[in-house]
Amino acid sequence: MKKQKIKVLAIVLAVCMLCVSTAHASTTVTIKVMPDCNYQETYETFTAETNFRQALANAHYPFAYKWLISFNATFELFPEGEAVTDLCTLPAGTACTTASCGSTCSNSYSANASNHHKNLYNFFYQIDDFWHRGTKDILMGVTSVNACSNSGSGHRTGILGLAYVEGRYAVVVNNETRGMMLNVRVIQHELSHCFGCPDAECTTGQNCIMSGGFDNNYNYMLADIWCDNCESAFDVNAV
Amino acid sequence: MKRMSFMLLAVVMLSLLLCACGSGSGREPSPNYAPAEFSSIEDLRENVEGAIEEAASENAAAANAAGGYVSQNDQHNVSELAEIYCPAWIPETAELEVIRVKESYVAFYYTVGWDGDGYPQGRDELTSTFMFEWARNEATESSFNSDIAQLGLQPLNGTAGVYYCDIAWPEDDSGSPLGRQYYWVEDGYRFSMYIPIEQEAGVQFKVYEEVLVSASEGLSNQAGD
Repeated sequence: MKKQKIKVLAIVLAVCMLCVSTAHASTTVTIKVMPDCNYQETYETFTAETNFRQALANAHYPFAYKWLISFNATFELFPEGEAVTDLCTLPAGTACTTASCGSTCSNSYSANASNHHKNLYNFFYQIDDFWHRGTKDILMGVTSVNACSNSGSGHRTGILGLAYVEGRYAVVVNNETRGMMLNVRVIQHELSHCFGCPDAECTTGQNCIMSGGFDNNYNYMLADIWCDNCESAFDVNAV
Repeated sequence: MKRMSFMLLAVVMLSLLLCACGSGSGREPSPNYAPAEFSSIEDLRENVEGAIEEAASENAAAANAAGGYVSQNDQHNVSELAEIYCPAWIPETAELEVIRVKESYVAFYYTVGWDGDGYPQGRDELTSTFMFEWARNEATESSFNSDIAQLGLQPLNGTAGVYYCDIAWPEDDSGSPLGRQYYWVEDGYRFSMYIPIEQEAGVQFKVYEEVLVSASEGLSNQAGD
């Protein structure tokens, strides 16, 4: 009986030690990046991939320094004619209104429906429902349109990204006319959602990537871009 | 038989749980909104006036409540910017590109000594842009101390109350800084300024208050129909 107790204790101890060691082990997160047609048209494919890789590389520093997470990104283009988020004649950078584009802004995606062209939820749900991340940890859609949404309170423009909290899918707007820094912060914000960080729950008086606290910070090599609340919510093993 | 049913039920439940976790179905994704952008102080002034009028209009409020258009001005409390802080010093060749506004900040972005196409990207952004930020939430001693620790700031010799961090481009092997980002507190607010190293001559950490909408204008607008 005593021997059995010792055995159980040894097993419990071994499991605890394993948990502690994995908590501090480095993690590689694989990301499948899929630029939409608009992004491919706005920037030549090679330039687009090079620039986005650079932005993703700059985005990874705090994840690496604080959480020992490294990103391994692969690029895959949507087949021609797929993932069209902007079919309208207004330039990609135009913030649309219902009047200017003449269509109703709808968040839901349906393959056959004529949806509001710049709605980012549309793109997100399309990716979530119809495109699979396969063996990759995260699938990230990229567009360059000045995107909008139709949330409960109405039609909103200027939406830069979407992701589920602790989800495996994200979309980001990567618009190179406004500089790389803000694009990097958007990527960091959306990936933080994937690791469990919520919006609007930041610690008062602290800078946080979840509340725009680093939008105007030029330092890519910071170790800590999360407030105390978001740091507590961050789960390295969520992805 | 009973055991088999139990096992089957367990497998089905587990599959459902895994599906829910994997796709995030049944949840709303969290949106991330861009700052409102203005091309000049005059452009910002016009938008502040418009936002004040809109906020005062019962029709606009009713339209928004019914699911109408929610402008970026509404999202970022632009109507509350009757006065803003501006940089009293900018590098000689700086040209204003954009003013970005969020609930938590007003930031001025300039290009400086830049003759390339479009807005400077990546490494060029560090050598050819100048930025001034006013953090709209009031700063306390404790919040500024928290900034100093989190951002790894150093005190600037010879200028009391100003802290800085050297900024290098991550891929430069030398690690030599291309610019500096400064932070200080004045009038109870935190200010920040990014300057490329080559543009630092004569740098001054001074701000001035620009009145966008006078108190009487604001009041008359709010009292309007």
